[in-house]
Amino acid sequence: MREIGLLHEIFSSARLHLTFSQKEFVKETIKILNIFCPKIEELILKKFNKIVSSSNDKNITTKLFLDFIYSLRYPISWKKIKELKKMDKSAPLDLEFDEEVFFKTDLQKIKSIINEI
Amino acid sequence: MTTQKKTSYIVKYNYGRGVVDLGEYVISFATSCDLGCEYCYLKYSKVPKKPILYDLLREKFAEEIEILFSLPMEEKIFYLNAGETADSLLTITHFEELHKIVEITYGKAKKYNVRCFIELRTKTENIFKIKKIPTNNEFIKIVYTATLTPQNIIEKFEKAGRVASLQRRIEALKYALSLGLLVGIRLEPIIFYPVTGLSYKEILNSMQILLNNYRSLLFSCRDILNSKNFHSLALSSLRLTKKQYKILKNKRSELCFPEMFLCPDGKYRYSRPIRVKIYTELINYIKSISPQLISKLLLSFEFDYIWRACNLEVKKLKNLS
Repeated sequence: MREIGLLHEIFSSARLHLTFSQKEFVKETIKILNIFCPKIEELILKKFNKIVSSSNDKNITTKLFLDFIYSLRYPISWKKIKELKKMDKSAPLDLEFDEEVFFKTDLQKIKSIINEI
Repeated sequence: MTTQKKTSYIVKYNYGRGVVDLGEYVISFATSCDLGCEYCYLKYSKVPKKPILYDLLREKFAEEIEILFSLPMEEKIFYLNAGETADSLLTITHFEELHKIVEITYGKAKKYNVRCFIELRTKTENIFKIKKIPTNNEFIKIVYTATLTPQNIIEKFEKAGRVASLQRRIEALKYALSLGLLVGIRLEPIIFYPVTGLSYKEILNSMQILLNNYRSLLFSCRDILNSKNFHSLALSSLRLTKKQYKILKNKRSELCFPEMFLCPDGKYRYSRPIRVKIYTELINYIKSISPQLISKLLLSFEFDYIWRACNLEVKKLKNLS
């Protein structure tokens, strides 16, 4: 029930805008994180309130909120995904690809980003 | 237990898109399993929950094995896995059927002068109950493989009591060695458990616990790993089908680790850096306790870019012994 209340608060907020697939991702993430951390809703709600009060620009708050959700869901990979995005936006962001086929340069750097913790 | 007719007993294993092919053929003599392991695809597929043994039509099996052995190939060596569609030693009846399969295979292997490995894969300790076990000869080698996992994972995700404890599985491997069989170990699936928290630091802490549990398991097996009859050691992290992932998520199963991605073969796996870290740490540990084992080490159900990231050369099961 707490989960539904939280989702309602996020999805009905006029301070950010999430697409259908982003909403689905948020829903799934909360559900999965809740298995391991029953207090996750409180943490998300606190951060959500902080983000939406930090700017009046919906684009900014949406991006900040999604970044936060991604970092919660993928604590190891999220930083790596962001680094990879900077290098090549078209690279698969799940990190599941053959870097030697995809990248022709900077291979050593790519390998250390995607393979090491 | 029920029986059913089967249209084909031997199939080339379909590993999935992009997954490294280890060259196995599957002997499909049974399906379903009542061991009820939470991570097993059988639990979620549309097969009856009770074990099924297919009617072994000797002539049909012999015909299929003959076709396989007569294929034009450079190397006449085959690796047949009899533990993929059901635990090979689920019941004594399963083993009796396998015994017939081994006999037929032996006859054909001799006729076509081929070498053939038959893998019996199990989580049970039923080998102790079997009175007559086929012996290895120049044509057929039985590879008794045990799926090993730390005891805390057995208790959490396998039905302790129905499957053997880790200690008994290791004893069963030693017993198989004493019978002159080849043996193998499958660390499959490697499960990220326990999860002590979800922050970056806590994930690393959980990973250290996981690695220590597996190091301790491998240390308990060092005599087996160093045996001349040791065939292969395979590492494989947890894989979940989309359907499994959805069901487990709704059941609030701790198998649904947050940092999992859908891979090119349509299965969810732990993220790439997590898998590579687990594999490389375990490979390094294995090298430290048994340096020669590197030539018998495989990644099961992994992509070539993961093998490469772990500095491991791709191998075929049939070429390991």
